[in-house]
Amino acid sequence: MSEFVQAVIDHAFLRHALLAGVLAAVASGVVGTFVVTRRITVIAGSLAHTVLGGMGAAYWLRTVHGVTWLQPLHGAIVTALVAAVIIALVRTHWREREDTVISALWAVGMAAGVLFLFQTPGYKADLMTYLFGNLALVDVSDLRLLAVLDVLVLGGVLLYYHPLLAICYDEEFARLRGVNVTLATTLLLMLTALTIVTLIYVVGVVMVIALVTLPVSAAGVFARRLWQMMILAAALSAILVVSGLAVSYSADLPVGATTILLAAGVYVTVQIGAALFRRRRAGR
Amino acid sequence: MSDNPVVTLRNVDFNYGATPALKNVDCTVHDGDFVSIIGPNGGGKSTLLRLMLGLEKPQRGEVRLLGTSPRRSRLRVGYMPQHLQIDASFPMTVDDVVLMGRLSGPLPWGPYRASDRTAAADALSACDAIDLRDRPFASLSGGQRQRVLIARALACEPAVLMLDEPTASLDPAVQDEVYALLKRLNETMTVVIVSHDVSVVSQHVNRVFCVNIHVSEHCVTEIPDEISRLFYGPAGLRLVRHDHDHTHDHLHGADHCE
Repeated sequence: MSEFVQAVIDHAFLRHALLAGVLAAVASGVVGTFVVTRRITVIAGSLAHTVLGGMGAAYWLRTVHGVTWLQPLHGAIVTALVAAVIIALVRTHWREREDTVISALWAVGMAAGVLFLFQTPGYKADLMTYLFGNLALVDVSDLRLLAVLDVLVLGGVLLYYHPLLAICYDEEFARLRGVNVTLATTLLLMLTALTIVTLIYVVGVVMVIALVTLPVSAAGVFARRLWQMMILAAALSAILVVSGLAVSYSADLPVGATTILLAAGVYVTVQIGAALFRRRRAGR
Repeated sequence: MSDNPVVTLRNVDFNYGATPALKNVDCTVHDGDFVSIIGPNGGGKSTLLRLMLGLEKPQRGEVRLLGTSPRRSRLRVGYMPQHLQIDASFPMTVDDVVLMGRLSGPLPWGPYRASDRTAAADALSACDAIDLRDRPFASLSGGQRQRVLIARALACEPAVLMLDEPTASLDPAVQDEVYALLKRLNETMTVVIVSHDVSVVSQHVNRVFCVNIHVSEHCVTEIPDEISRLFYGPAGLRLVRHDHDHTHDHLHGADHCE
């Protein structure tokens, strides 16, 4: 552990990785709480995979066509937001087809991403990064972008906490209070989309869903109110990402996969602990 | 009878896809009424309530709520869904639930105001549930949950309460408490409920709409006091005269009670 602390002091790339991980964890804990309580983890999974299409396209334009200002993360943001709007509209106006559309976006995004990447020379290392994450690649410009995304996401939640809570808890009642459910759902899914983008470097598009859901579900065991769950989940996610980075650095393992397994370990432990606690209390 | 009905349905047809749910419905709820919508499962009780709220649009006919379209006037309605529709594992305190009744507008932002908190506290007090305010909603009993959801509806400061199965899955003593509460609220506002239980409902309400694709109104007849007391105790009993033909097309909610 002290070896890791020394390495963080010595190496800028580790400090960047740490900061990027914590930024992503905070957004993920807060927005993930809505995702888990509203039970839309499948939508989050779909958004995450769809993002590969945008990243591939941006990477291709940048490498093959010399659009040097365009970063893969830009492509990810645009795709995630477009997919969020599509799902929100289908969800509120064409509910019976929601499932199909979510699955289709998932696969089509992946397919488009793979095709773009295959058209780009030297793609292989980058494809692995997008799929499974690689915090070591985060540079200062990425950090700046991540910070902006965090401010947007946290600001959005802070400002619209009550209507977002209302559509998650009881959508029909919210509608009867005049809340524009389509608009609020679009907002929620856009915040989810941006959060997913922040997580790409940490765990990659394939494993995003685990980091959005596992720490939140563990936090849910202890929280009585939604905002408490958000704070707990954000803190737990941050601890998990930092631990994941430390373990993977010491043992020379991939960060994303390490973090996910740690998160799963915490989730299972908390759930079993809670079940045992309930049984003991019931037995008394 | 008031000149400004709270709800009117005129020649309303409603289908789910090709399946007719309600046919040729005419009914009126007047100011101060306590209406119970009864009928068999799948007969269209909840659909009728949803039409009144504007949550469903009729394929034919017209629905008016508080003198205008339901979409415009629904902010003046306090609605309570069936409590089983609500996710009990959701981390919410009673206060959080009741404050939802203070939302208004397409995308309201920022924290609740002090006046919203006062209104929520008043609504909880009116439902004898103020001491529950900091409890997690999930930890409440069925009867307590109903009180809290009624308080949320009251927090809207409504002109009319519309409640879907307010006594579903409650034991009889708790059902009586909920009805007593609704009866008290009915002194200041119109109340419309959906209920599956004719015998319980008829003690409390002044009008009964029976829904089975068609809607017809029943009379609520008082049984002479002494007989009622003899058989049912001091609370008494009122019967619903159930003498119409459910298969007949032309009986609507016209006021055929003398």
